[in-house]
Amino acid sequence: MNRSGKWLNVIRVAVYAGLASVICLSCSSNKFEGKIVVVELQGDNLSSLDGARLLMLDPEKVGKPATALLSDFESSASPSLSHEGRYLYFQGKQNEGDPWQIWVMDLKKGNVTQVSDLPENCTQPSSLPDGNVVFSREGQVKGKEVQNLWKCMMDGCCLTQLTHNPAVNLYSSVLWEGRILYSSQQVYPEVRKTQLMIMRPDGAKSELYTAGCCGTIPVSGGLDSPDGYIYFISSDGQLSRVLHRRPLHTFEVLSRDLGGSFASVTPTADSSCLVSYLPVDGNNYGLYRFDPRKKETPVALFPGEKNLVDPLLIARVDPRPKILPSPVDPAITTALLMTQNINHSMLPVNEGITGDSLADRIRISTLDGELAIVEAKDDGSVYMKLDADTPYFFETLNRQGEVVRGPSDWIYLRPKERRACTGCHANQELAPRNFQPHAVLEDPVVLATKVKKQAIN
Amino acid sequence: MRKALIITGLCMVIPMFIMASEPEKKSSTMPIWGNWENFTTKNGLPANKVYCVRADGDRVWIGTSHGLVLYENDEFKTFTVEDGLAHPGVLAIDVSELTGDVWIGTLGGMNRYSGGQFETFTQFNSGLANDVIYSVICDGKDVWCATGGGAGHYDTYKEEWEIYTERNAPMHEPWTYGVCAGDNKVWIAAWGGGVIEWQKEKQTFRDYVDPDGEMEIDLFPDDGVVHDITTAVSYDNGILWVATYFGLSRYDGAHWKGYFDHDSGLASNFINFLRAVGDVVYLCTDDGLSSFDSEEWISYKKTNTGGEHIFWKDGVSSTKVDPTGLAHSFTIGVDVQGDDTIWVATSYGLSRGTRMN
Amino acid sequence: MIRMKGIIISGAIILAIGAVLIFGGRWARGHVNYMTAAEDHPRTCWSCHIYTQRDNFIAKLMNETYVSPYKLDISQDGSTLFIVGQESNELVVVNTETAKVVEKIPVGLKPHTVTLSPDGKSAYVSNQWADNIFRINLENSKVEDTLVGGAGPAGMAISADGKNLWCVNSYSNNISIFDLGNMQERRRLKAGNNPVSIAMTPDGREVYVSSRRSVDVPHMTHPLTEITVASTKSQRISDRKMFQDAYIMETVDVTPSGDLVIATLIRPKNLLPTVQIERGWMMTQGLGIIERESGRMVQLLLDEPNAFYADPFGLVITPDGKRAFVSHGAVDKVTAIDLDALRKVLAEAPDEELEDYANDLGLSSRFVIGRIPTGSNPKGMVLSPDGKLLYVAERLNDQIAVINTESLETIKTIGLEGPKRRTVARHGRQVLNNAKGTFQGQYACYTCHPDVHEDGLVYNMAASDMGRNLANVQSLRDIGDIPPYKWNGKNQTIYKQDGMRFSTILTRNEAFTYKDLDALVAYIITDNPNPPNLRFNPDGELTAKQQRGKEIFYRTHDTYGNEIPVENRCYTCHPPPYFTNKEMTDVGTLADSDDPMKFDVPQLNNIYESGPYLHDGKAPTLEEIWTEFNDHDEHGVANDMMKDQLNDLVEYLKSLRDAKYYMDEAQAYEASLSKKNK
Repeated sequence: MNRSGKWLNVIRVAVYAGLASVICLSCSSNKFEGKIVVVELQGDNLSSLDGARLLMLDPEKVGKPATALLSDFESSASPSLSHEGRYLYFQGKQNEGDPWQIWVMDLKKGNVTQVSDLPENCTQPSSLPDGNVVFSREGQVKGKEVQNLWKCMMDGCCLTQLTHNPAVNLYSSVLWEGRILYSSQQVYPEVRKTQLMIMRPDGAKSELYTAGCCGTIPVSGGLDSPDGYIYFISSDGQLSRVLHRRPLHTFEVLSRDLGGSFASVTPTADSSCLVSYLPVDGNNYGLYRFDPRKKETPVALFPGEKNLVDPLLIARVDPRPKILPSPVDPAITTALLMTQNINHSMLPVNEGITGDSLADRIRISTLDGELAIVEAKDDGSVYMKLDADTPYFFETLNRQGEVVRGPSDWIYLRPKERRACTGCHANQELAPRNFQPHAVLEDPVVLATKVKKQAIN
Repeated sequence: MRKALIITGLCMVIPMFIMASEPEKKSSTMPIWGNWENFTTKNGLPANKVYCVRADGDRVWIGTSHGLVLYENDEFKTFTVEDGLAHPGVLAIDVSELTGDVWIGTLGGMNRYSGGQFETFTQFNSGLANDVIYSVICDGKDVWCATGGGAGHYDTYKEEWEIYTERNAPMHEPWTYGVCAGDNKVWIAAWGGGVIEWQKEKQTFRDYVDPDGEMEIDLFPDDGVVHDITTAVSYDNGILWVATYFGLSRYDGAHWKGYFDHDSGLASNFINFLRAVGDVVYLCTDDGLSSFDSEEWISYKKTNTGGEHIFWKDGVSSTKVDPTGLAHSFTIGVDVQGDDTIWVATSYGLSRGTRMN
Repeated sequence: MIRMKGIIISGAIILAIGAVLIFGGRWARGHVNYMTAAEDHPRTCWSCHIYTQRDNFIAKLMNETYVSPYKLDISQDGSTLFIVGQESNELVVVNTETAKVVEKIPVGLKPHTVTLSPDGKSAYVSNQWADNIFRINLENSKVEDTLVGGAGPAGMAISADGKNLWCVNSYSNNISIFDLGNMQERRRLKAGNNPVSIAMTPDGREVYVSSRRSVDVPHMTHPLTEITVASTKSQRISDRKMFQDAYIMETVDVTPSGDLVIATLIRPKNLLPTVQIERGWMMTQGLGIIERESGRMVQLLLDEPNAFYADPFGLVITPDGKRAFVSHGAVDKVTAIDLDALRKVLAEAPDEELEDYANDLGLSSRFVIGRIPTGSNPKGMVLSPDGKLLYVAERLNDQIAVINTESLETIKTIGLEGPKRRTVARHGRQVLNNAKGTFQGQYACYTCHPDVHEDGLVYNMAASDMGRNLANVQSLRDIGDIPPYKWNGKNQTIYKQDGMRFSTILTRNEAFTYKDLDALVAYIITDNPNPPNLRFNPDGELTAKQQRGKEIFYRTHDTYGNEIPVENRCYTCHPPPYFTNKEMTDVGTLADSDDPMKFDVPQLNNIYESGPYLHDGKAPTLEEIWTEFNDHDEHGVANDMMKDQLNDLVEYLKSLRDAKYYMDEAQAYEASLSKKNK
């Protein structure tokens, strides 16, 4: 064979190899696209996930039986999908006595990898657009069982605690705007009602999202919908929503006239919802479709023979949630907190006050008790440097030492976070007044107690 | 024969010359003011020392040592530094005919008061020469002021300042006391510098100084402004009036005429301020208010029992008791409101008089 | 032998190419990393070296002249729209029936507003960068009269009898009143700071003029922006309504019943430490309302707790007085308002709670009835005479949206025959004008940099603490050649200025994509000249004062003959053409609240319109730079000057205009420097 012929052969082989790899690569596409993953519970107790398993349903083939997704797990639940639709996170235990851990399944390749490997139960993952996964991790504070939100990368590295309040923090979800919505119930020093909270993905700027309304409180996490609502389950199995643009005052129970009971809700791209629903005359929770625009009885998709909860549509989220930047710096152990006016509040003055109704100082307390009392400036402002990742609560005091308002909810700040409030339990729909607080004309009052290496700016 | 012709000719020419320098005789309709009503802190003024007064239609603006006052609907409303006034000592006020804006000269800067808001000009934040403003006038879109550090011209359209001192104007030193405008000219009373005239078309200065130099007596009568220490200028009906601490000067564009307390009805040579209203000039002296229409003088003084009118004409003087009188004879400012009301700023109160004839 | 030679040569070529690729690639990586302050910006050479070309052949190929519709008016029968093409300097005439452009009439530089005469025969167009107003005869489409008044003519209103035209002068801060009988200016009344819009009451007795910038206020106190009220009969100012903590009041209008005067506004939180953005911590936007009967002023927000509607611009009220519409240039939306519901809110608002009402993000839900999406950068609007159709100028789409005011839906768009392609600079302009880069759309670059300039405010933008390092907003005009950026000079390129750190500290949102960032930088560098300085230096001929001032600027000896050290001469730090030497310096203006630092010398082109001054804006006027903040002659030797000398220097500084006029002077200066160095 002459030289040119040899070269032609080489070229031919290269082309065939290229074509083959293209075909092979395209073969391993996500075969779950468009399917629904749902959790099948084994018992009647919706809270018990022992023995639960993830099933895959095909909405195009309603009559076709569901397929078990995972074979090696004793229990698996709480599916959550990454925004590009490829990675399915879930909580799982391979053996009965194991603690729940976070796992991830690559839907394209089919392999399953362990994400967390911690001694405590780790549950309810939700995927952040930067590749991190947020989950709840059990713990103890002052003898009370708590759960806090943590995050880590898919390979388990870079583990970071996000919430630090003595509460049960669950059901995190990532909104399209980039913040994390989650359910929080304080457990220390007293148990309070569950409310939905929202924070930035680095754990900073945690604030109340909605506390429910009219005797109804949220009991699940909330999920984004293209119609601008956040859908969740509220007490007594109601399906509820708030308008994200104004969550504090748009609480709406959608299911009040429908009868039956809802266990979970997942909005879909067409602004309808996949719901886990128990009809009035039903035996178990099945998978249904609900149109919030019509508010009619949900339409059955997969009634199921066992309880089906937490449906998840396998689909790419487009556009994906925002990746919010973070000024948090773990090398810094402190944070800054400023209040414009400690007397600016929507709460009434505490009963029994005999002295001034205006406070002139603020008492800061930690889990271990009173830390300090800081005097406010003449305009009511205070400016403090606190330990990061430490829960505090505040009370405003008058000259006579009486508690005018408080105690507040637990507040914590992330390392190097700078946070400001308009007041103490002020109306959260009020933007701040525009003035330079007198307190920031001086250095902050230093209440930080930890002594660690500080990064030099 | 020739001698006779020359003498005749001189007899014809000289009187003409003399007559030319004599003010034109007018039929007398000199207003006589009386029924004085006096206002002090007891009536709502913030202070008894009243520096200036300016009528603005139905309203009157008053400058005192402790603020600017607006008299309207029989009420006094005081504006202080809290309201935006540059300084409590208000020395000069004028109201723009073009815009209605009020311009206020104080001891600490100049204000424009418009639509209820004060805008402040100082020597630090603008091109204003000096914060001590003795006089301010509005001339169309232009505002002129006389300050302790030079005269200033502000073009309100372009928001541009021009200042005139001894460095760029024929002034003896930058201290200016008064300013007025008319006939396409602006006149500045310059302390120790006589009168400086700015010609708008030519954009040039000329000055009028006392040919007698620094002599405190008028050595040669009617040879120019009576003294270089000029305190105020005012122009109306073709006549420029110049106040000095040593008498009054009148200038018709060609000839000067001087008036003193010893040879006229001028109440005192020490003239703090003057204002020409038509043919009549009102002079605020340290010993009463004088008015003069180039023929006749009427002066007003406070007495222990009220006041007195002092009439003077052609060397003949008469006095008439006035049951009411000015608040004080040390007069500092004056303005006429409409046809029948006069306001006088004195060192102890504000006086309002009505026309009696 | 020959084959061996061929192999060696081929090998050498391959090695050489490889070396270039590897080492050149590494160099390019380092170069791009430095320029963009990022480690993964694509090594696309054209981003910096092609897109940012100005005034040459490549720039001509890259760029287009768009129409950029700004404000508009409509004929009395609703058949014809007249639209100002701000970039194309045209008046575009559109037939509303056919939705087609009928003709384009050339007008002056940077036209702002078009107003039709009451008889419909003439159109008046204010040419903001030409300091004149054209009267166009609509029968023959010819400019028949040119009215000259103040500087920067913008909004206009004509009396119902057609006798007087009121024109707001946005640069000279006053209102010209023209007698349309003789086309002469009758008088000029002082308005607020940077006034832009005017509305006449239905009875014709009053006009209301809204302004953009705050009046001068003491340092770090509440911004106050004025709505000026004038009587049309006396042609005098009757009132000045000062809206606290508000500015950028772009458009004002009056309800048909005359009960309310309404203006769009933005409420900046410039006095607060900028530590967060949630819940309106940086900016909120809404309406300023004057209840004419009582004179009470109320501010209400159009924003919501988790959604913001940045850069409100246009405002129109339906003829029946029931609805109002507001365009939001930064979020591509029009807000529809139920005015009766708004009146109800006003009626309930107690005087003592007005400050809380002005900050209440929940109130808008009571009177906002819809948010209508539009194309890019909606600006001016006009209603059809029957109020059924709303025409919205989509400035950066070169089209007009037509909205049904009942259904609140866009029913069609009218193209204005602008270029079809979107250039990189145009894309960048869209990025600058859009709030999508900011968390919850709270503000856009344009918000603090209106017209790519600055908003005249000082912000509390401490990077690490609170209350420290106050910073005066700087202009973005013609800044391509004057790095570094930021007052502390920390950003060597505009890429870095608008990159990751910007998103962490300011927008608190995902950083711009590189595509958007490249476009944004291209726009900032290429398409933002300074406006002509017609006020103080229209033709380059300096007045006597300015010439004297120039001599002072360039002086080497003080009034007493003492030599001024070179480092303390004005021109050393401020040489032409940009009047900055682009270095860091200490001029003794560091405040107690500043961290120790030197400051980047700012450019002085068009400095007359950039107050307040100094890095923290503590000098409201140019004079005060030296009268208040130069006790020790650290900011140039000035304490020897007489007042008239300082005035002359200030007049010279006010005469400074765009850098392109100083290129020769710059060359001469460079030549003299090198001569001295020899």
